[in-house]
Amino acid sequence: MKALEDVKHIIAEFNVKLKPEMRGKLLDEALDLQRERKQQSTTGACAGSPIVKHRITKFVASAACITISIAVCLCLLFGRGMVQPAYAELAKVMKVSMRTEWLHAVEQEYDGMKNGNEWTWTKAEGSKQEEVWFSLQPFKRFSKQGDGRISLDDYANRRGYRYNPNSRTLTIEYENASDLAHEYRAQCLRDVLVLSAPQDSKIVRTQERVNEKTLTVFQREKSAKSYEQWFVDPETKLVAKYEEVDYEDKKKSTVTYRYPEKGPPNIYALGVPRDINVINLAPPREIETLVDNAIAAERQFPHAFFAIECKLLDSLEDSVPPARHPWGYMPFQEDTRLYKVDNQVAPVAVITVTYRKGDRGRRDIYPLWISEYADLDNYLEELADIQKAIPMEDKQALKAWTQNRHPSQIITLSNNNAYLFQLDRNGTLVKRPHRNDPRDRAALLNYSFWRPPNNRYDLDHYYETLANQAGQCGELIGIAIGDERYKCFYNPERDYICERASRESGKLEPLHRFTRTVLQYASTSNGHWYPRKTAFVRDKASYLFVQYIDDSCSIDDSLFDAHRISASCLAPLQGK
Amino acid sequence: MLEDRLLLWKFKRGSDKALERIYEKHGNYLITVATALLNNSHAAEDVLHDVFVSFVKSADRIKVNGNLRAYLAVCVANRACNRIKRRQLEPVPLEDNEPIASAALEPDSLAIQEEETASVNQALAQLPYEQREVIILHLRANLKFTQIAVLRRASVNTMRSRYRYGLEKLRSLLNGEVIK
Repeated sequence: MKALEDVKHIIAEFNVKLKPEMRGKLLDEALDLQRERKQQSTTGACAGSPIVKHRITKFVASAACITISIAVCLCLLFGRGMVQPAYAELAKVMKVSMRTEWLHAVEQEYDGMKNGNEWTWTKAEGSKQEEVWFSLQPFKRFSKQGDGRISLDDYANRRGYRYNPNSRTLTIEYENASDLAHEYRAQCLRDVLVLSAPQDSKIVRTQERVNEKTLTVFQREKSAKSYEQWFVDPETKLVAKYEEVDYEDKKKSTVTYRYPEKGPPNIYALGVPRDINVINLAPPREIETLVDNAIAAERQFPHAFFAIECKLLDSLEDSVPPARHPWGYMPFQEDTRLYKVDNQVAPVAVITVTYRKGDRGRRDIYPLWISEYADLDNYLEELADIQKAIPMEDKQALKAWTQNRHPSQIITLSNNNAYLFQLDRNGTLVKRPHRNDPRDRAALLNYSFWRPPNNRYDLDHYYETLANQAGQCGELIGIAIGDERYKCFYNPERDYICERASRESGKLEPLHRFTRTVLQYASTSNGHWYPRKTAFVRDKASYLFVQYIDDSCSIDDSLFDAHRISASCLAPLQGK
Repeated sequence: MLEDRLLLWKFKRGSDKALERIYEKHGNYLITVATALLNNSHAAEDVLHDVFVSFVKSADRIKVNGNLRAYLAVCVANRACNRIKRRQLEPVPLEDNEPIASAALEPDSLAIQEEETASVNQALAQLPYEQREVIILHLRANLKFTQIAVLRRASVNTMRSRYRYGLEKLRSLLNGEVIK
């Protein structure tokens, strides 16, 4: 006869292992999707909406940086709601914790048993202790997992060390850091301190005697039968312990903290054997330096400018590929008929006027469309007419062209709020929040579509130095990055602009293969180089980008005021 | 917990390695939950596949307030439930199902436990899905009744009742009693 407890035990012990073939297939597909997700960002960047992420910044400890970090922490911890006194007090813990040399956290799980009104807690069966050593200066994080894995994230040196006891290997990887380093550091610290209370949660402050010391306890009810607590030493203002208790689940997990002056000197100090295989997957330092130089040059580009860019479908061969585009898809041809993809037809030309002033930006977008369902002959005829109608070779004429028309879309960014304006079918103004994560903000603010897409910075995959090539002026330095062998040839004589870029791996769908070549350079009034003409070829369609940038003109503040944009500022959005 | 928080953060920022580690860390647990819920290893693999595809595709929108493991388990439960509802699950003879292996390590107890788990597996398959689900999610996926209640948009008491009735029925089935 089986008792209920036996049944429970058997079910709790159920265990199925993934078949090796399933494991490989599923993981490969998930990773492909992950890369596709990144590529989609990349595609947007190619077509005039650069999304820049994974920027590498040196860790510089500065008061300003810390102040921003605290602001970010408060913002993320409390959201936009009113900050309660206990909340604010707990938030100060972050501020103080940032000043510590090292933080050592040990996590342990417990199972509970109730005897009368008393709960007794014993170490959970099978649970393994997890340890973290974390420091902001130097920016490092050591981690020792219950399964024996040991890792070190050495952010300042951009190296990650992963020890796997099963394969007895120590893998050295490239460690990405973000250009939002302050946010990233705050996130790392908040993770270790488990400070992530939702904005609407209430925190109660009490006191408790622990080991003959009175600690301030901040408690947050997670549900009727569960809560979490932070025990803070009132003298040091540092968290001594975090505790999460769930009476319904009979579980408790604690994280105890110490703040030693010194942390582990290296990963071997945590128990990694010195005689194991070391697999170094990190790129050579010269590649990192090259990328650093390119990023530095990009950062020096002025933060106030007016730019006008024209993107034109230049030629088509054989058939029109369904090219993904920020505004839809190119129509594609089959048996001389043209079809729309996803019920959308993309414009054949897009003129974009961009204004940037500090952290504010605005884009006025003028797409030009071919008649819907035009047959191929008409299509090419209309395309030729459009090509002739746009005065690409003359900046003033191009500017006048835009001034005589209304854009179909306007995107504004101000105070971290991005909005997209356009007219609906009835001609009514529609204002909706534009994608508004930090990368999109960067996309709007960093006017640099000629820069290679963000995976240029993604050095944590395949990389290779390529033979230098002769450029328009001087020698181009070439590298290939990533599984898709994204090739970039940088021009050191032209602010490290990537003069030739391509992604041509046979593993990729035609849609994701492209080549981009700078045909002609120009310089702003303040001496910053940018490409005047760029050819962009994707599969069998080629585009020509022409742009003019003025970094000496004054930019009117009212341009960024979303309240000033009315329906009369916009033209109907055709083609959708 | 500490590692998962960092992994999720890195994954959302596009780290392939973080995704790999999440998969390595929780893959077996999730396939166990899916197999136990669906009683069909092929369907469980499909569910796990869908969960990871969706996980990657919606990376930018994912918000995990609790722990990552529970979040993924809820995703598996939702997919499994949809599958059952859509009657996509072809009936598979129980003997064709891959037996759910026990986690027991000692060889002598392994044989006994394998037999036990096979019979529990068969008994579970005879439970109404609502009862099987709450039993698996609570006992094997370690979800709380409150979490399961939110998942199924029902009261905690309903979940407890399903759990209690389901367990009792399971015990009766295992003991060869007649279920009325």
